[in-house]
Amino acid sequence: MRPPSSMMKMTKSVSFILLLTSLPALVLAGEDDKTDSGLQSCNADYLVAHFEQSFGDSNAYAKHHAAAHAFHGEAHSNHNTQESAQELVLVRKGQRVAHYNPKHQIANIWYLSKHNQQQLTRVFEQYQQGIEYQSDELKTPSQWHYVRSLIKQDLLTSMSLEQTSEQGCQQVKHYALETATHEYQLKWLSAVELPQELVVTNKDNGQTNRLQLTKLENDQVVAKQAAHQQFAKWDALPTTDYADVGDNENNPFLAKMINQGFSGATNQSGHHHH
Amino acid sequence: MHSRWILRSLIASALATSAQAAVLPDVQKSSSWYSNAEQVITNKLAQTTKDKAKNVILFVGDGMGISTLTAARILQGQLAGQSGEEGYLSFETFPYSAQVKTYNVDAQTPDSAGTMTAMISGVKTDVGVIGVDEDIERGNCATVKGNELVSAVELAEIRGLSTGVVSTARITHATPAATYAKSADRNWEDVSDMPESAVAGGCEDIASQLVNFEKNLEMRFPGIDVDGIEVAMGGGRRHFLPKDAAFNSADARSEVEGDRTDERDLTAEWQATYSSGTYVMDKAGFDAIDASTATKVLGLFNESHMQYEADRANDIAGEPSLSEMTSKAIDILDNNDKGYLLVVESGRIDHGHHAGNAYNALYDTVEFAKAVQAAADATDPEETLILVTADHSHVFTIAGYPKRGNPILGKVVSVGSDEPSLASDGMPYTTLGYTNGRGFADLGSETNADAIYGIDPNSGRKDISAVDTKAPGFHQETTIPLSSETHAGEDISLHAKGPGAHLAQGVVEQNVVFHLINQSLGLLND
Ligand SMILES: [Zn+2]
Repeated sequence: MRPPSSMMKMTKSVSFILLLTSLPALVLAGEDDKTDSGLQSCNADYLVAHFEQSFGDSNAYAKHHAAAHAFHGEAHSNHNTQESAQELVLVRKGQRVAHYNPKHQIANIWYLSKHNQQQLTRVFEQYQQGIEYQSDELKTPSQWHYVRSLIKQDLLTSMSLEQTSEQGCQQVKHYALETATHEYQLKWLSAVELPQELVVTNKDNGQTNRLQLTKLENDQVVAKQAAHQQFAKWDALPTTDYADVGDNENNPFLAKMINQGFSGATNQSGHHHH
Repeated sequence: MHSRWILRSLIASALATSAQAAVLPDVQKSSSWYSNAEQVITNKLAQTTKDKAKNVILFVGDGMGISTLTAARILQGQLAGQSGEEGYLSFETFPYSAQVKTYNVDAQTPDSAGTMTAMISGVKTDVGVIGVDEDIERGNCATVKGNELVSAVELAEIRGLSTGVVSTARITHATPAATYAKSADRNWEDVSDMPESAVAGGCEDIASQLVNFEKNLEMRFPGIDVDGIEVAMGGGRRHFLPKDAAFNSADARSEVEGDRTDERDLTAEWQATYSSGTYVMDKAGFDAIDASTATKVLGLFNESHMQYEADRANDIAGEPSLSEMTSKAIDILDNNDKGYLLVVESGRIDHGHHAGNAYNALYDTVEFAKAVQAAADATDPEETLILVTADHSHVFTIAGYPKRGNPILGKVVSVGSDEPSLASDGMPYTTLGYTNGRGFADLGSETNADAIYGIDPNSGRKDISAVDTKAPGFHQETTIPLSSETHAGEDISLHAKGPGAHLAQGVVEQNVVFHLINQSLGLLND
């Protein structure tokens, strides 16, 4: 962890959109093209996907995602309808996946080690610092599935395939599920293993939560370069083990975390936790 | 008048002795409470006091305040099927103890850097700094020069003793670092943690100071010849390896394990300096060390801190326990006829508390007590002084009126009752709690206390009626919401056994610990 004095020297992070539009079209030399999807030509391993999440039914959203969010430590998971829509950027680079919230400038970055351990680092761009969590063993595969694909594996497998449209890399599988309380409609991009759209409707009140893919960059060259650059930017930030936060009351950012928690840490960006 | 009064009272007491003994009813005299306590005094009268020791072992439980000792002692007993309160942690049976004031020069409630510097150098200093006195300005490299202190480990090396440093935290973490390093900031664990001005100003990161310990000490005191720290074991590989995946160890959990931005591989440098030394990074390597022949050992068993004892089985490559590391260290160090100084830290009691998770703090304390017992078993009490202490306390309390034998991690059940007591809000409550911190969480069987940190603070009262508060993943309720539970400022304890132990008594400043070590080993004698 670097002290504040050296943080001042670090470059401000470039916004995500700027980064994507200013990419040199070069492939990094010597990079291996490992893939576990078997659909290498569709490139599921390097991508940048923009989503819009809207929470018409905050209770249902919280209920259905609480477990995954609690485990993965996702901040801002329990927002009510006061903050009904959020942008989410998912970046994949092999065994690393980031969920970036542009509004709060917070990225949750996971790495799945070869031993099936998940390492989570949360980067606060505004503070140019990261917090590293001790890896947890992957208790259930669906947790990593959620990180990588924004839907838990057990939910996906419990849904029934209704129709398939398009072919190859564009293939969209339409899934549906009805439970006692909710209806699920999923348009699944099977080649990249991401939802094109997920709609969850509360049968009691008709309110819906929606996850909508708004932009997908998975060109072999462009996406790979974008992912590399974005992760490199995050990796350059100093990090602190969460176990060590309690002993760092002299660091202004960590002191703020000790005193106010994550929600407090984002207050300066205009976000008010409730 | 005065002398006559004394004479009279002497006669009176002589006459009364037999009569007074008879005053005691059988119910009192035959009580095991009575006779056991009487035996304690008999034993104390028979204690002999030697002043000089051949070896000293200093145990430090990081964050192990008095309430932690009491709760861990009860847990230890209950794990053995007893009610728990009547037992002792291994070192609580030591014949001598003192109460220790922990404040730092500039802080009412201290941290490990300032407190360990006091214990190992004899001088209280500021919070957050390592091996330097209070004239330091934290984080300012330029203020280090001239303010460096000499630690007992350095003095022992100069005297030709063997030395060892063992921790379950990163070996570069504040407590172990204070034994061998000088740093304006406890966080300068490797070069990437330092501001550029500090690197340019000639300050050396803590990991590098460990590897260069022998060279640096000989440079500071021209003419001396030391052979370096014999045993250093703990976590913290990231600070010794370059930030390059090619240097990842077998059980790396990050994509790139090393943090160093100066391309140095300190494990290789250490091996080059000590060609007959053994570098190990897992349990198998540790087990393979032959203590009778090993001369130098560097063990780095985790990328960061080692696992909590309760979580240790989950380590990919396997880690030795604190008691295993302690036994191995003693077996290696006692090959030196001149004696040794060994420092052993249980570093993660502190982290369990910071996470508001009594389970891990207490299980690590129980393992710490096992390590002390292993040391007592492996040494001769006539020649080895064992000191057991903490650096500071935590805001951790044992509260309510639970009945005798009530599970220490459980809900309060009153004397005569079998049902949890209800507070005025109608809900049950736990015996153990924290004044501040992250508050309630129920992570069930999760044995890693740090898993809590993904969740926002959750202070205040919760309905725990249906919650198993004895589960590893239970985090106690708290009043004041903080992202991390804090240290506390009250005194901690010091327990002592062996030559010089009788000098540990009364209420003392923490820097007295150094002088106990020095007195017994005669580190500064000509
Ligand atoms: Zn601490």
